[in-house]
Amino acid sequence: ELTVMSAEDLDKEPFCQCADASTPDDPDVEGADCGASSEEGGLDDSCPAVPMATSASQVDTGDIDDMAMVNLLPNRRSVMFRLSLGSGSGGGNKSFLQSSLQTHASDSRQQKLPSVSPTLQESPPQSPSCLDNPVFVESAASLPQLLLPPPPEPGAAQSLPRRLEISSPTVRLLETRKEGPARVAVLKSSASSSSAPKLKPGRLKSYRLVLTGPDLLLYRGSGGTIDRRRPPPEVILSLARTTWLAVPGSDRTLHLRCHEPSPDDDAGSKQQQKQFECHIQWETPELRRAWIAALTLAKDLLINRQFTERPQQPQPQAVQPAKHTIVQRLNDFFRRRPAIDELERRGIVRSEPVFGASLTDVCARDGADTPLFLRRCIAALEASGGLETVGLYRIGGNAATVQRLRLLVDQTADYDLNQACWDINVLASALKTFLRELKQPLLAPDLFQAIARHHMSGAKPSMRRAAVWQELQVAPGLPTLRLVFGHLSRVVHHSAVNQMSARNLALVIGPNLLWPAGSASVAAKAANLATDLALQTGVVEYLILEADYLFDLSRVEA
Amino acid sequence: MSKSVSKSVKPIKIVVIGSGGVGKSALTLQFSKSKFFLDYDPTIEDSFSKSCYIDNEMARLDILDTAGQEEFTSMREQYMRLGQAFLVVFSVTDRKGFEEVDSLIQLIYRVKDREAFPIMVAGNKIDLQNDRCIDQSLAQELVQRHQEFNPYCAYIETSAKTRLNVDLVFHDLVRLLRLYNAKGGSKQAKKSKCSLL
Repeated sequence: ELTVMSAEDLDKEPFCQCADASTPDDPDVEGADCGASSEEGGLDDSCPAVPMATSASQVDTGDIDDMAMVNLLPNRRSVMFRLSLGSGSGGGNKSFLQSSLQTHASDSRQQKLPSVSPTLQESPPQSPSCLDNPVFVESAASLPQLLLPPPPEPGAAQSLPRRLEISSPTVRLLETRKEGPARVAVLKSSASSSSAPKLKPGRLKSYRLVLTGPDLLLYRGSGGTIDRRRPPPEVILSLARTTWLAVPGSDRTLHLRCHEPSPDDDAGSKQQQKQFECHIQWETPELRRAWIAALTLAKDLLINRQFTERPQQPQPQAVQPAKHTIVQRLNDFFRRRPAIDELERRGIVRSEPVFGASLTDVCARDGADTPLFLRRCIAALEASGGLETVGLYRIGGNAATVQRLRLLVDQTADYDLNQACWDINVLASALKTFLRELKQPLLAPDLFQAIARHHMSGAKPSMRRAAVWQELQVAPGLPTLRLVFGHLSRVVHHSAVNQMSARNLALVIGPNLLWPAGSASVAAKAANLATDLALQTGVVEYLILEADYLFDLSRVEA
Repeated sequence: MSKSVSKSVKPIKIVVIGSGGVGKSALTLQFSKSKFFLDYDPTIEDSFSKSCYIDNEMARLDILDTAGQEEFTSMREQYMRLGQAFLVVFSVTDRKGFEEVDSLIQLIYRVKDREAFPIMVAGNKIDLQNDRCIDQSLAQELVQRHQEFNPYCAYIETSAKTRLNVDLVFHDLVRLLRLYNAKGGSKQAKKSKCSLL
């Protein structure tokens, strides 16, 4: 099944929403997965040269287990190629390959694109010769689930089985990308015999070979990797129509012959000939062998499309870890990384003692009925003139500094918040963070509902006040609430200077005091945030304004 | 008659983002209502609409003014999806707000799945020269870094209080968007692209 999607369609698909150009191999965050970065039409040279791919998929449509790949060449014919492998439901009797082509090309190339696509699946794929540059197929299978074997990688091409193998539910997609320097001698097109002609060493020039998906690209010059400024490949060979032969007398050389190569950028010039031949010479025979293996594999993938099923057990022999690239190793690590609960159970990860703990734990640790950090933070804030700071709690502190403060508080018992390096906005942000990261919201949902009910009831203000006071007496964490609202109330007393009226303050502090319980998804939280905000702000504002009475502030302080 | 013209034009969705208290609302209100409001209310989300002629072409702007506080970050991606052009505001008197600009722009690229997008960076509050801590060159440098791969990115210094460059910043953003659309980045262009399937 082959689909061609416009980029826009793809936008709509849930599993490839957020692409992140900077973390090409980010292995799945929260369901939505990265498609790929793309350059936009009209943007000269903006396109990332090394194809950046990819990543896994959330199994959204049931049968799509993985998608690979993506895109682009140095000079803005961006084509996105997505390959999805699916295993049939229930342990997988059948596997199938799905590919889709997605276009991101600029206007001038739009018309050309569609013709590429149908070839990928059924017929021996003609190279996307209608493109100025070929499709990249980049690395492979980043399945989010843990049961994966280690990802295949480029170096593994040497020892690869020659076919794409799929075993369900474990899917393994083999790498069809390889890159490396070689010396190439382009031969005059000759209608010669099938035997390879003799090598003429003098004509060898440095090239960089890039095998990528259905094509072999020859870049002029040997240096470095391909980057954005690099000119387009000089030659593009479609593997499906390329044959290779050993060259007699040299075990480092290969004779390549391609019928009707794809025209490259300056179509009409030298590449128009019907047949292209060259000698490629590598440094060592081993390299040649590896390249032959990779070429054969890539061609196989294109033409044969024969997939064998493997037994359920994961393969015993692992891919040699020594050859993993950093990205792949990281991917691997993330995939195998045990869940946080597991680590906590084994005592490897300990939850932070202050931030992100539950209120009762923090209080027990500090041996008081309110968290020490809150008391110190509030004291420091008020001592350093925080109450007169315009936009207190509204303007955030430097995130890095807040993080530093957080670590300090978590790791040392004896910290001093009165130092000059903790400016007021940092302290305010830290306080908000502390409240927000408590395991349970300071205003428990039940308590909030009760207060909201009384607050909204049409009773007389004094009656309402009394009812809310009643509710608060049995509230968990009353001392902490008293501490916090006492402070907020003092902030509001200075609102002529700091411009934070009760309503303003309630608005920015509210989301830190209560949040919908249990709803894990960000989207749900956001929706709740928007709808509940009015009520929430109203209640928090009420609590701030009436703090004197509700929390018996004057009595307690006296 | 002008009404009918404005109805026929598709509105442009502009989203104003930036960290808390940098003057996003002031800028938006100054542009849409030509007033500088002294009240100091944190925004959750407000939207304004204004029609104007930019380069002799009618434009209907739907401006979404957003919350800058970290508590409201969960709403960010939602409105980012809707925006066609972004105004990233920071205050030249607030280092923290400036530091957040880069990450906000990165977030736009990520949410939009684009390497280039019409983004205007506005350095606000330049009437407060005495409190200034972000140099023009510093901001210029940041934007130039982005311009290397995103030509639809520009920097303008503004003052919502004195109305300096307020119109310019919105108008230029619309110009950037038009340029961007003309070069084929627009959705319409994309739609026509895929004729197969």
